[in-house]
Amino acid sequence: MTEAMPVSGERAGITGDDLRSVKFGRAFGRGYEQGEVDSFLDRCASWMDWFNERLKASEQRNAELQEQVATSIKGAEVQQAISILTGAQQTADTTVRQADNYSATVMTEAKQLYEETRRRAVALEEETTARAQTLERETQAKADAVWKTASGRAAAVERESERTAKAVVDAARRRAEKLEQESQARVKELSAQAAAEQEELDAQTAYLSTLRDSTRIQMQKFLEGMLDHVLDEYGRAHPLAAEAASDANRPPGEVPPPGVVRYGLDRRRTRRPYGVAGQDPRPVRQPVPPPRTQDQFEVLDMAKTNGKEPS
Amino acid sequence: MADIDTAALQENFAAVAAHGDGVALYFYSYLFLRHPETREMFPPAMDKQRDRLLTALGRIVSNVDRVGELVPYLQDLGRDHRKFGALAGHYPAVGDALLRTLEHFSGDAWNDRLLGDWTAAYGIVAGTMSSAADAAAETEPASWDATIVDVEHPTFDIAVLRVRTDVPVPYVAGQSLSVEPTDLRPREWRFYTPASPPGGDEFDLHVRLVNGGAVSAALTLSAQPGDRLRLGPPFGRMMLDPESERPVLLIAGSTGLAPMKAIIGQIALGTPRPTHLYFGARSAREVYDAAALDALERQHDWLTVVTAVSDDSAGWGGATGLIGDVAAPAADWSGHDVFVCGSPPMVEATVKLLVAGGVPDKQVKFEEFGEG
Repeated sequence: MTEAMPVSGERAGITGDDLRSVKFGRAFGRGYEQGEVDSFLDRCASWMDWFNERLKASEQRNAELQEQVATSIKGAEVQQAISILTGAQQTADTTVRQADNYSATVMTEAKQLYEETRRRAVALEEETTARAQTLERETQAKADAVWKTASGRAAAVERESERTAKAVVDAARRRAEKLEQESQARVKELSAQAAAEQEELDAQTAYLSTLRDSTRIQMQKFLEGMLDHVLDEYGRAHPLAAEAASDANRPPGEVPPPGVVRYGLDRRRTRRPYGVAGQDPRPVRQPVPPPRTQDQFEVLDMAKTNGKEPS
Repeated sequence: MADIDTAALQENFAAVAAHGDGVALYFYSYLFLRHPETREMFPPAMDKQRDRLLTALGRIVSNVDRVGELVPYLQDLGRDHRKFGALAGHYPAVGDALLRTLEHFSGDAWNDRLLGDWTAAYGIVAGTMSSAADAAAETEPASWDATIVDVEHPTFDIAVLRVRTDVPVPYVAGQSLSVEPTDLRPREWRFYTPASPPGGDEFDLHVRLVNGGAVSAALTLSAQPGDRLRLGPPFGRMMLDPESERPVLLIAGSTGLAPMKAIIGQIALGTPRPTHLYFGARSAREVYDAAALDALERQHDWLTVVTAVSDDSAGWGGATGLIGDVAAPAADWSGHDVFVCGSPPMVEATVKLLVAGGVPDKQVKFEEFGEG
């Protein structure tokens, strides 16, 4: 507090000595008793000296105390206490910070792990999807290829089958045609045979018919002769019989006169001529010979051979 | 701050802040030594808290001349600090620790003038904060007690928590609340956004696990129905302008979807406006709310939803790319009110694209994720 000292110095322009040595000028008229003034000034001077001493001492004491206070605040004890508190606080902070850092590390790692796992899961999902798609494409391609091969082969088989079937059909048709030709030839042959037989039959029929006619005429003449004889011999005895005999000589279609009874040999004339015994005039059908199955087997064998894969 | 030499304060703070983490370490050690009762307001591990202190101090000091920006920030800070149990009596203790810390690290540069200026400046800061806290105390509690009633895990590192409060929390759709898992991680607070419009006593929170994040780990991995939470007061300026009739574009990255769902719910309650929602996730797995989005799109004919995956599109059949890159060129958005929420890089890139595409700055509102 050295700066404070000059302040008190300035103000201390009046000391005890000043008071003691002070001289006042004399004036006329009223004035103080000089002895009283001097004695009062002496008292003042003494008091002033004492006061100044006290003040100086007080200021010194105050400065010392101020110093002491400043020292005590900045001083060892307070500074020690502050540094202990500071150290304790720093220890506490460090401890908490370490814990927080540790937890931050753990959390960061956990988050990274989580994110990594998640990314991997998504990647895996994408990869799986891609793989599934590839697999699907491959499968599709394979299926297409199989389908193509199969349908190609099926077409080949179909073509082969068609060819085989056609061959079979052709063979069958040829066979049928052949059979037909054969049967036609046979029919022709049989027809010719039948015609020949018919001709022969007709000839026989004609012969027989002629024989019959001539036989009939001979018989008629014989019988008429017989009848004439009988008439000649017996007819005069019975007129009715004679008339009947003359009716029989009338030409066919002529209506007999009423009252004439027809009987006797006339009925024979309406009969059909008889055929030759045991001979049917219709052509005889010969049974068609069964197909020769050996040929068919040959055709089937051929089909089988053609159906095989070329080795 | 007329009598305060703000330039000297800034210079001094820059010199002190150069000592880095040691500054805040000294500050809290001094505070806990002299005022042990303040220790219980803070979590066991203080490193993040120290970052916050330095950030806040830096912001205050660098804005010390811009009262218009500084005062609302300090008021928010004061209102928010009530949830920690900060009382008017704690402000002098903090001031004492702050001055001692500044003195300690200033060395020979420290003098009475700096002491006086810092004392005055802190007085103004503390006064602003504590009067904002006092004002807030008249209208709202310091925090809201809540209970988790349902926990869903659409994927292992995202949780959708259904939260019930005794009284409705007065947030606006799009605003966020700080959440303290009272049982699981006491004294740790993080901001989350309700995914439903306000008014009810239940809403959803979407929580994404941040590796090593204290609160997000507790809420995604350990939270069970019945667990208790404390909620801080609502903050955030990403909300609908009730005066606007412009169509709406919402762009969300990951759990940035939550405020967008709240905003869609809010639009549905009023006059429907044509709304496009672009939702981006890193991988198909993280498209965590697809069913709900489908349902919303079917339910509202004014809503169009586009989802895109940016990094790992394995198993994803929809749009791909960063959501900002997908959304920005999709249409002329210059006549839209635009809302963007996601990670800081996502928000920065998306806002840049939109502004370059002709969307006026004032029509774009955004929020970024904080730490987990």
